[in-house]
Amino acid sequence: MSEDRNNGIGDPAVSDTYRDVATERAPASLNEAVLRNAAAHASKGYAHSMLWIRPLAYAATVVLSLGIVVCRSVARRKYRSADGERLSGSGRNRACGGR
Amino acid sequence: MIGEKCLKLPAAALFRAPVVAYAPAMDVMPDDSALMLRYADGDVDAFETLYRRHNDSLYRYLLRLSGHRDTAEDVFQETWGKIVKARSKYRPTAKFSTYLYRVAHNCFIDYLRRNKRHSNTADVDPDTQMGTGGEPDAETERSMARSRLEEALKTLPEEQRDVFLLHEEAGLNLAQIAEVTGVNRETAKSRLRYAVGKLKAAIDAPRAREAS
Repeated sequence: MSEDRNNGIGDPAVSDTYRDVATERAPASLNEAVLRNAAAHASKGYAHSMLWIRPLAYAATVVLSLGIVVCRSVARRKYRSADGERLSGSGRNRACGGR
Repeated sequence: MIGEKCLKLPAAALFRAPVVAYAPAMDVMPDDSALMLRYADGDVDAFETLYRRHNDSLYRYLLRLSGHRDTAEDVFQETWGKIVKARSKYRPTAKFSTYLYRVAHNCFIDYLRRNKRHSNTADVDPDTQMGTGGEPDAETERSMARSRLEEALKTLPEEQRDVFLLHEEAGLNLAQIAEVTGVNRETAKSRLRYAVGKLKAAIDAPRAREAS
């Protein structure tokens, strides 16, 4: 606005007189209606996003839990087989030593 | 003792300096685009802040552009309805007020097309009263100037009134007015110059008559 005034288009006297005249405010009922509409749409948007976020969260939890269980059982099996090999190896050694 | 005080003063001033420098930063309000993006993420309070910044000026713009309270209210509600619906598509490529007034301008044009019976006879009463005769004092003269401006604004061609209101109510510059109204900058400039010239002449009318 000031840029235009500097260009000589605006006029301070016109602007000031207009400011004195233009004092109306948006009616409270209108404000209420607009804000109510905005709130309704925002909550709708949130509910809509929750429709796919919640199942995705459940699915992720299940996949992670299964992953942990599978990883642990695989690790345990590996440990047992390694342990078994070690035990059988030491038994063979003992048998050899006994001879 | 005095020397100690003298030494303490600059130190205290230096110590206070960051507080003074950073205090206003704490009060910086988020800009309109940021508020709109927050609303798109579901923050209703952000929308209310944004709305309270623009509601009165947008209402006055539509009220004076249409000259009818009912039309202004209908178009006002339609404008905000469109802003709300388009929140997820909003991209802060331009100033928010340019976007808002472009939507309002287009809603008003659509309203005129839908309601062809809409006439230009305004039903908005001036808030100010004319002076009651006698020797006009300064306040009476100001009051009369306000009434003359109000009347002159009603008689302006719609394009010129639109440009003037966008300049005064929305605080838009020529490039932004051109963008909102869909014309080039020179056309917007010419319309604004004519509008301001006519309004200035209306305000100065009695003085011009006295001079001649």
